[in-house]
Amino acid sequence: MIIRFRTLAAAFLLLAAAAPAIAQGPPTNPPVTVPVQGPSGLDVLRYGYVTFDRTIPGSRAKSMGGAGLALSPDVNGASLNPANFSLLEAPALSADTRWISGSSNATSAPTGFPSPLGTEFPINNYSPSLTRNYTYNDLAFGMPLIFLGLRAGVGATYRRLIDFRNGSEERFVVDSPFGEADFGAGEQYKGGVDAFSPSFSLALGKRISLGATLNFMTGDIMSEGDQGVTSFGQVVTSGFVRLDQEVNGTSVDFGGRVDLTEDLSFSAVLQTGHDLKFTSGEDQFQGLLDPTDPDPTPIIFDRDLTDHTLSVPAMYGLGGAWRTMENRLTIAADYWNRGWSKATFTREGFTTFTVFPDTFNLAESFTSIIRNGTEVEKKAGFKDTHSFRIGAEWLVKGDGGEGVTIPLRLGFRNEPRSFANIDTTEFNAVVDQIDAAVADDSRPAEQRQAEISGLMDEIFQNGSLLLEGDDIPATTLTFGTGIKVDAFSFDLGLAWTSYEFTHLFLGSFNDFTRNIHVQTVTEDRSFTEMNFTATLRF
Amino acid sequence: MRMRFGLLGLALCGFLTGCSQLSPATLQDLGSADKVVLITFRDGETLKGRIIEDQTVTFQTFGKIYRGEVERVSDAEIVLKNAYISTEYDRYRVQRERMEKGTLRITDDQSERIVLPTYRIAKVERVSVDKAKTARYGIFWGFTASVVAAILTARL
Repeated sequence: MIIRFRTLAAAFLLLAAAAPAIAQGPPTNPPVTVPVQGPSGLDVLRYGYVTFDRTIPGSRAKSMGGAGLALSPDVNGASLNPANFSLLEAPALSADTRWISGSSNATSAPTGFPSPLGTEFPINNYSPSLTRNYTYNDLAFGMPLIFLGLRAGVGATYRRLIDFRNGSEERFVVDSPFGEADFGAGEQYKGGVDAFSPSFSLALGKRISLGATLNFMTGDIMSEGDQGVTSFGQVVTSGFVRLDQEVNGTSVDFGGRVDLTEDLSFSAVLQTGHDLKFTSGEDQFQGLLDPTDPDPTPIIFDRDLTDHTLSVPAMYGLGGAWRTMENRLTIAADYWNRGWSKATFTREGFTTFTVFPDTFNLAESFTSIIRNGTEVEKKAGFKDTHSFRIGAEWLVKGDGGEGVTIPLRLGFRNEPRSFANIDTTEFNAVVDQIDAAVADDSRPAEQRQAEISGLMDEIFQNGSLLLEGDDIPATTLTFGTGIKVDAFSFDLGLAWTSYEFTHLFLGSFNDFTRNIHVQTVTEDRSFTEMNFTATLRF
Repeated sequence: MRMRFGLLGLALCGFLTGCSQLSPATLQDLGSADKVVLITFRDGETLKGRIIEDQTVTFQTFGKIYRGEVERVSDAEIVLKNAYISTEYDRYRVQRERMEKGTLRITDDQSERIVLPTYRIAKVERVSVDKAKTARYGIFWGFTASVVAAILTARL
């Protein structure tokens, strides 16, 4: 399975010198699809760099640093804390969308391609970039009612609970001994986990409210990626990756709220532990085509990912809000405890078989898996995302409370990512052992094949954990505004998040299950996230 | 596709969310082709429309809504012709029967005319479009429709 890297190396060897002659048009030969069984998506880090934390519903909480558990109830905030539904003053409908844009700057990048042929081509001008995304975030309806003589409330929301949308591109110039070539690779993730969430809330007296939400979660994770090498503006060779997988699950949230005084409120939310089932995963990969072949036959590896169940640990949030200056000023703070490091995933066990087509060259091998019907539980490799959020809201309004109200909001939060930095030390140590076994001609081939097979099994069984690094702290600054006039509210929230992290060089195109040293890139990334929310109170 | 759904939603909302507002008017506003007025009579009956000859207007009384055309407008009375019952409901049946037995005759089986004496007019108001409110409704429903369309596009 190192064919891909050999092909890439061959492509560079043949660049510049005869670029017009080797430029490929679209292949005319029909592609050959090779179906193979694959590990689970979590085994091979197939979900990109996306945080599994839930999104923040509504522009109000978003622009207050995400601190929304104990705010005066609005229908979006009630999605966050179900206890708030009973405190709504009127039926309300709200729609919320999100737009994300980002930028990236590489602070550390590989200096060259390590080639299985033993040569390395220098690379320069490594330039990463992030793509933009826009989608719905939340559609929420809530209404107060009387239930058994008590103030109560019901609600129903449809939310993008976990958002997988992200995308990045990497471009750089390869300096081969024969000239320069431009390399480009990009992958765009789409989809996410959506939840339809009915809620019920009951006020026990004037000061205490309780509520519960049932989340029916469904979704898809999809990705499309392309890579290519161009020279003199002509495509020398190209390839692609694809991913499509379904996700579903059910969970329950509980919320409570205590209004100690008219100005001071405290809230608590418990998101109970639950399972997310990842099923029907299909992962396709077509490596770079052989540039020496004028009409190559594309070979597509169609990998059937093993289903897995992600065990999401219980999480809780605590919040407080203080209103003063005739309710013009609100200061809110939340703490979220999200112990993602306890997350595990369960999948069917498998056995690996490594085949050596050429017993005189053990560097070339092909490893496949066969599922064996057992059940295996593994650490998911996520990081805790405990966070502290704080925000303030100032209402510009007339004395009578009627007419137009303009809120001004700002906030801050320090919230790590749920995915980890990549640390290649352990992984490449295994690869070094493989290389040593390949190079050690003093031992019998059978003995070395057995050793390499065992090391490949280690990579397949524990691949992602071998690459797990430290956590990724991130800071977010937020601000927002809006307008409230009679029954309408229109709100805008802006959040600017920045963090530094280290990821695999070439991402999904650098399949770590290949017998090759993996490399990393360190980037400073920043995201600007904009929410727009429209609310109507009936 | 998503954009098309959004634009369609926005267009629909423009048509469906027209909001009206009432502003004070006088009897002099009757007879204007430009002004839609709402006349409220002493007993709560209403007449709505452009009060000029041959214009179609709506007269609402207890339990019945008539559609008809203005035959004549004078200082003493407003006369409607070709009146017919467009909607009838029984919530005010008792009041309607009492009114029909009283001195004020609206229509009977043989007549399609309604005579409305002007001395019974309690209030005249102009009906106009509240542009700001219509815009707010339009933005809200257009935006909400685009969110619904995005959800349906993603999930269906």
